[in-house]
Amino acid sequence: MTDLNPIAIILATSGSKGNRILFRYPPETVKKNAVASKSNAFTNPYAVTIAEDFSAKVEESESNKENETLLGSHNIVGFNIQTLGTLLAAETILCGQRFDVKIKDVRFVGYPLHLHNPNSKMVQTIQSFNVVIVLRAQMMHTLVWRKASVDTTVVNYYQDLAKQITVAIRHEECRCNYLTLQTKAMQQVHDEMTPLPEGFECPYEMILERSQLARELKCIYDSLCRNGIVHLYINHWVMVNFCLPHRVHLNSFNNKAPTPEAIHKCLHSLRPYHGVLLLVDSDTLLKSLPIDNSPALSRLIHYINPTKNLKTLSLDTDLSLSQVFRLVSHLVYWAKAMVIFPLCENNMYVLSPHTNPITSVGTLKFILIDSNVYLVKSFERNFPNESLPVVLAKYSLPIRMSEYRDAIDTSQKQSQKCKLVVWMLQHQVLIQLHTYIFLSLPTQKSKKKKLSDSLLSSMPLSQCLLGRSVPDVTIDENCVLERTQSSSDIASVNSDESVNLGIPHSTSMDVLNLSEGLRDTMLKYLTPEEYETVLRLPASRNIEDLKLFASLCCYFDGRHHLEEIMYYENLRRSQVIAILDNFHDILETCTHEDPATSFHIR
Amino acid sequence: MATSDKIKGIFYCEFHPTQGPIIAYQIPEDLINKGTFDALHIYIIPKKELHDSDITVNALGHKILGYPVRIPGRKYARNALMFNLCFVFDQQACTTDYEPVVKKLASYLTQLELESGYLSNEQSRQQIPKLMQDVLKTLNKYGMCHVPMSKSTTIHLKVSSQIAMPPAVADHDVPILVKDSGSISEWDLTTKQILPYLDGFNHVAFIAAEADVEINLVKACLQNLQHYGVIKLISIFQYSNVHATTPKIYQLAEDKDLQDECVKYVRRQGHSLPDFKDIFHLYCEMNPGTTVRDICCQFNPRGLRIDERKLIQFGLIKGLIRRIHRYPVKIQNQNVPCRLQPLYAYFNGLHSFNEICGRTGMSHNELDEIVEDDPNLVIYFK
Repeated sequence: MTDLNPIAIILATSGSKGNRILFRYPPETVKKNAVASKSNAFTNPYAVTIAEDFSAKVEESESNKENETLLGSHNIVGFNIQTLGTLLAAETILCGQRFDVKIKDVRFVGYPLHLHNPNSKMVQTIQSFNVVIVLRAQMMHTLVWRKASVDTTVVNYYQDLAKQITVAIRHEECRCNYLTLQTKAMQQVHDEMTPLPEGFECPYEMILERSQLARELKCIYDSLCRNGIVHLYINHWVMVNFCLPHRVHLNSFNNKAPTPEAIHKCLHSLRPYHGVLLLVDSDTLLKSLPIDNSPALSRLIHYINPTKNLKTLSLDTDLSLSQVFRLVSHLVYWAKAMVIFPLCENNMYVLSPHTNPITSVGTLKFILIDSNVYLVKSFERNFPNESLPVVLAKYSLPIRMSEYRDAIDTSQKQSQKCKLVVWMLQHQVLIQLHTYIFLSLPTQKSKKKKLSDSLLSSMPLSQCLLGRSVPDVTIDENCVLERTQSSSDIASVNSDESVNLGIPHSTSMDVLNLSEGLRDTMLKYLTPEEYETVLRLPASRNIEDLKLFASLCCYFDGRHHLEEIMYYENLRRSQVIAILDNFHDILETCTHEDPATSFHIR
Repeated sequence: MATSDKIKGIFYCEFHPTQGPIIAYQIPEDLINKGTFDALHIYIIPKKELHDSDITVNALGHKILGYPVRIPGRKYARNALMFNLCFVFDQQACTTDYEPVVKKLASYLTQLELESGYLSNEQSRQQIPKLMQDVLKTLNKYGMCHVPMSKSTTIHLKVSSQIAMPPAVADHDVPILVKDSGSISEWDLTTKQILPYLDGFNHVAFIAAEADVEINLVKACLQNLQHYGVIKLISIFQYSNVHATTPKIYQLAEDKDLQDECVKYVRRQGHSLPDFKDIFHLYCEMNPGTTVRDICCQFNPRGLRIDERKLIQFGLIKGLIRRIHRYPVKIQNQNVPCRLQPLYAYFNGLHSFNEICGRTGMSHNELDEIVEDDPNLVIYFK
């Protein structure tokens, strides 16, 4: 996963003194012990043979590979500093646009800028400058999706960062000659060092002591390697704020980082019924925000609670829903929060298929993967009296929040269990299962065929009992009428929905009129044949049920979960469940995770 | 191959003894203008130490892929011939696949120059544009080309996509053909030997035993087949297996073609086609708490003309359902009987039931009994 990290950061300038590299971090000295690590470079037996098969050099492929790489473990090797200077200090014509040069397996990305400051009193020796971030060209193999497009997105993100830095530096140069002063200091060190024999001492160490810009670049490099988030002020003045989504999510998510596209997709499917779960402590988060952050954001963070949905949050914070959406998207992008369905008693959770095998550190001597150790330690810190494997094993089978929290437990224990669930959601050990509903009608065509084939008699008993395939083609309008007359008595027996709604049962005349209206709504989503079948069901005789069914028709495509239907139609769970029961002959339900909120699962 | 990944043009440039770096030939003629080349020539005809390395420059509306070559020799005006034959793409194109092609072409040209002075001879030089034209046209069209250069030399180029290593094959995996494997003569001897055993039910260790092939060879073959998309790996069929639906299940409800394919696939041998509604119902009934046995007892899929083995196969291949594996994990080490000690090494949450059974030769039920009774263990289903 460190393949996404930059190898080095370089400041190159071009001007009257030629093209030169003024600063690089980390300095070259690291390369001496770097060669050894080549063996753990990614080898792909297929790719290697294809790349090498032409030149009759297969037998030398090992030595060839040495030539192919410019990479040590921490640094680039094999360039002398002048060559690098020529390559990286871009020509004027290349300034003001993305810079991307790939040599062997090293990629140099940057954003060169031209300097022209007519107001400057000092003599300008620098025409253009470039901040170059050095990357590994083949970084995609560490990522799960194995697509080259990832490469391009990572490159684009780094180019954006380089642009932020160079634009900030240029601004400071115009304001107070920052670059000129800093480069002078760097140049001085270089000049002092030149008479010394080669390799005597690296100038970059000394530059770090003397130049503030150098320290800022070092800080950028270090924070990129640490967590992919850069936040600093160039010359204490211009803010540089950057996050590499591939990398930040790698920290907080178990082991696989989602693509930025997956994150965007999740953010697009954000709905008012979703909730937010902070991945970091809210106090820590508030402290980490820049001083001039939007007050709305801190207010939102203050109110965020895993049991609240976005709609409630928007009411609590007195912000418009769209603003809440935007702020939440922001938090998710920066891996400070995740989208969940708000915690409630009926939520069903199960172990995520990507949960790392987790064992407690104390009892086992197995070598654990780093992230696991982190997980287990974090768990033991938070819940000293619980055993993680035991807690997890409880979620082997889907379990509802209400079942997990026993009613007989003390309130303290109950809140502890809530905290456990929150912790497990934060660490993506659990996924939530939702119920999805499909309309599944017997196929008309096959029915008629069956009749004509007179297969009816030979049909297995089970099928007849299930009553699905018994065709009833002779039903016509009159039949519907006839049936509806008996609706009221059945309704009072098998459905309490209509009672809840408090609407008096309709007479047969009303039914006719209503079905006219209903027909239009239902035909929007059903074919005429399907519509007929629905009307023929016993449950359709209750006009209230039928009305509710008609209004829910649009959700029966397996893309809307129960909770979403409840939210949009303002129904209670029991009402939807009742419809599901009454129309169970033509409805199928299945449970799986919500693809919108579970972008870390693939 | 996406259209944006096509080669936009090819140019041949060299270090002219008097004019410095110039573009000698380019196809099409207006591909790279002089200003662009002047800005980028340091990357295209670079300093000595960067010769013989592939260099990609992405700037000024082009992505230029080159492999600069320097051939030293007394006969050249500057004691060396420096040239670079570059492919030009759109800026967004993904060019990693072409890197070996450019490199190979450069080495062909180097060879031709060394043998016959192809690049330095004024007469033979005239053919370079034609060569570039041929390469450009056929590579874009077919992804490969063969250009005869002389009696004994033909340039063979092929764009091969970079591939990721297919996932490793385990002993207990079950390979299943998802594509026609083509004529059997296409494959190597070992693959030919194991192909007949790939029926979607036999697991790898069984295939190795039946076909009398060393198991690691079988795995290598299967990995290769996997790369070509001929097989997929699914889990072994057992009535104790548990499956759960995935979010992809809605595809089955919407896609008529998939439904037809499904109905034909899962039909019981020798019976008429089953009802799609029944199939869909069975899929929907699969959840983390239900084994295949439960489903069979409750719904009698055979009575519905559905072969439950095929049903599971189809769901797994299409990703409509996923297998839920069981992982025993030990939480403490108290009073473990000696004979179980070796078994305990597997109980770290990394090995599923299937894997443990495969390695130890135990049956699923035996293992289940041991695991169920042991207070030292918990089981993850995931």
